[in-house]
Amino acid sequence: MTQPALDQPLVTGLSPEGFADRAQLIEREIQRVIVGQDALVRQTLICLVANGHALLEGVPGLGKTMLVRTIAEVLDCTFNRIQFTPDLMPADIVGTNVLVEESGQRVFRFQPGPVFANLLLADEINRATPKTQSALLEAMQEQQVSVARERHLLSPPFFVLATQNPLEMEGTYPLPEAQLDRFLFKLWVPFPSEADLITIVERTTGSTTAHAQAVADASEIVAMQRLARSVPIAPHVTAYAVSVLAATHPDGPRAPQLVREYVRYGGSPRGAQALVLAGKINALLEGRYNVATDDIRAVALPALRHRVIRNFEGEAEGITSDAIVRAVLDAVAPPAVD
Amino acid sequence: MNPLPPTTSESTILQLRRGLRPYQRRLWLRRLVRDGARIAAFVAAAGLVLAGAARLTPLGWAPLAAAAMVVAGLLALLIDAARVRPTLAETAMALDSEQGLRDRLASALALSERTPGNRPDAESHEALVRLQREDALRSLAAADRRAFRPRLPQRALASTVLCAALVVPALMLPNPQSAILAAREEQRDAAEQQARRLDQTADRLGTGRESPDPRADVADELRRLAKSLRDRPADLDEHLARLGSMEDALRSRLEPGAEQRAAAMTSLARSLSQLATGSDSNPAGDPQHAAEDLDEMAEGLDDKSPAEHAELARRLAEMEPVARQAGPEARGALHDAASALARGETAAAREALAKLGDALERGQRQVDLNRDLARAANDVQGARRALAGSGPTRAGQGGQPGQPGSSSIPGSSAAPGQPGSSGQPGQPGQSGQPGQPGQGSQPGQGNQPGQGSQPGQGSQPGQGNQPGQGQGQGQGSLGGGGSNARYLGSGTGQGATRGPTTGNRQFGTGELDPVYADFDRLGRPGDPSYIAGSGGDGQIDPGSGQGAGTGNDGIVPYTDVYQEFQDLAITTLDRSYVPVDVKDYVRDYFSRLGGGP
Repeated sequence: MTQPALDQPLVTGLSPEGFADRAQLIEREIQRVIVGQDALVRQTLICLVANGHALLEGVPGLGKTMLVRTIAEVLDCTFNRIQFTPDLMPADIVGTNVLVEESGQRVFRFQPGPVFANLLLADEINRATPKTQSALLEAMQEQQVSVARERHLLSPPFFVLATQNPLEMEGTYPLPEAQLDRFLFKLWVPFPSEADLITIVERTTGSTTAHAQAVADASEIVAMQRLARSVPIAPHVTAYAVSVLAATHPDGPRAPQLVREYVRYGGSPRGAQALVLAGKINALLEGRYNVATDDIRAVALPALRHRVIRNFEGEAEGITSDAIVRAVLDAVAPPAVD
Repeated sequence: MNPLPPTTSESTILQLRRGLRPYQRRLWLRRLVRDGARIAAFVAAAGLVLAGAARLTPLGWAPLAAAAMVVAGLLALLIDAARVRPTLAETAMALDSEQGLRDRLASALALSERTPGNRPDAESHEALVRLQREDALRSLAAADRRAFRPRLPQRALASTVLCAALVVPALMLPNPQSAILAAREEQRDAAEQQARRLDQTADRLGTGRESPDPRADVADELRRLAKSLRDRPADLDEHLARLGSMEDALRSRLEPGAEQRAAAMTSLARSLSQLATGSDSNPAGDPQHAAEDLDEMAEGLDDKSPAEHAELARRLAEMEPVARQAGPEARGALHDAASALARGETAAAREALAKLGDALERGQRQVDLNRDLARAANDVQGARRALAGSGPTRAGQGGQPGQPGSSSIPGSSAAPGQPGSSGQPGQPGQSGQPGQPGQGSQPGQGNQPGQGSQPGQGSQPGQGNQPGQGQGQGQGSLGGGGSNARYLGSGTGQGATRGPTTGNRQFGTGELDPVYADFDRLGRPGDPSYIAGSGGDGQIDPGSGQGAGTGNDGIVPYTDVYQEFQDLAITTLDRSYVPVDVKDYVRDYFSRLGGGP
């Protein structure tokens, strides 16, 4: 499997129509296994194509791990899973140098950890200690790991899907803001509808189990990632994305009252980058070649909900981040001409 | 996979711009309609406020303001038309929004103005830009051609209709403020008219004269008054006060017996000229002419005999009563001349006659000054009356009832040679009607002239809180009779405001109307009134009996009463209510009589 770099020129051409076709193919294949959760699948795909990482939050049993495994099957990429526990050590993630004997000599050889995969499932990431959680920081941001003064590049695409359980919070270590900011999206896995639940039950309790087939490989994902970054965006749309982000700050000129009262810190510049990049992919997925303000609004919730840090009053009064982001979207209307 | 399409062309963007033009015009029209409706609503609301205010308070500039509002609205619409003309980018954005094109058009236009730069994916970026333009062009072709239909803002439309519906009755119904505005306009016109009048008086007084001549100062003051009238025509009370003050000041300068003195001087001058020349060479009684005649007579004194000197002295001495009325200086000079001539001192007589001539000329100048000031006072009085009459009608004052009229001049009739019946006595004047108290805010109407000459019984002042206005007067019914009502149309104010009255205008003076100015100013207690009575209906009953006639005691030679008549007439002339030309006429009349037998 070829591993093209993102900064290299496009070798294998991919048209926007091909992009949309490929994405639909991936979605359809995933949906053969994952019942319902169309928005979740779409947002996860956006995350993948944006070369970002996703944090999935949901109660146990909603198919988070299944989703990641299915994506790995569909994409024909290497896949690793790390079950985060309090005793998990950084070396258990990134790997370590082990003493091996070669040609009669004992030498240290780097033994890659599970992070060396195209798709990495960090299951229940909040159960590991911050030290271990931070071991993922360099990998997620730089797509490399440094062990014993040696840098080890991760093969693109590198896609981390972390999950966390919002219920069993005892004995967990909530992710610090710096690490949260490295996730492109924070996705909320909703409880399926009754109709979807019936389908799930029927599929999983029968004699046969649905399996997905690989419809894309790593090089195609990289090509999709590069094409997505080439999508043009008009200045007024970029300005709108920035306005939305600025409004998440309590001292922002367009910040709504909810933000002023209940937000401690607004989104970082990574939030604006996430909005624009995800907006580009959303436009391509919808068959357009330009980013619209609607694309920005469509991805605002998953891109900003984990970047808005509530203050004590906000947490005490149960003001959710989603409510805050919705208030921001209500306050910052798209540029309009009448 | 399909490779990326080749590099974009500019033709697509040109087609896109061209295709947006019609939408640009339609968007412009929509904006104009929207803003026009808002401007119309604003103008209608402002008009409604103006119309309402114009019904509450007199706004003379309301029509002008209404027109200005309309003009301002049109101007605002014109400016707005230039301001709201949309650009192509705005048109694209608006069309994206209205047709749900997801920023295709706006993005295409915006991206056409940006250069790709040295980005590693420039080729694929350009390909996407070209695709985006083509996509935008397709979207534009599929867009509704009737997009941007003009939409009237419902709120503005409702406001306009509502305001217009309220403005129409506000304009159609009679406005109580219109009468006030008309009165103000009349007041302005009257102020301008009186200002011209004062200017004319000032020109007449001030031309060729400089201070310390009092006429020059009076002229300056009159011009200031005229300017004030033009600048602030609405300050009626102030102007009336200033005019009244000036009139008082002018009258205070008038010499009380000036006309009597003028008559005496005229008579004296005529007599002196006759004495000097032996003929009626100076029938007009010109003092200067008399002075010249005296000079000639003085030069010929040496040629005259003592008897002629004595005769001259005697005749000069006969003129002393008249000279006394002409002034102490003239009398003294006349007395000195007569004395010197009686003593035969021709030199002293010449000197005294020269002094007499100078005294006559100085006296004449004083008389001229007095007459000018009197005329100015009359003009000021006339201006004040006209201004008072032009002011808005306000509550008047309770007028005092008329005083009893009495016949002061007996009627007379005569049948020469036959005893005749004397004229029937004048009918007793009826009492003056008391002024009726004002009703409500209307001024009182008590202005019916009293009839008869009986002591007036109307003594009730205007009563009630509403200031009233009343006037009564006695009117003699016998020929030659007259009322000497002491008070005319005067009263003490009971109202909160002191307003000019108009009711007095109905007062008539009978046949003497052309002679006497209408007495319609606001009287004050103490003002003398000289009201001529109307012609009486005395009957002449010629005697029918025959027999020797007997002396009729009723026949009195006019020479016996001439002086009495003259004194009364001259005294009357010294009052201020007789026009100057009439004064001259009366004075000349008696002067001529005085020069007779």
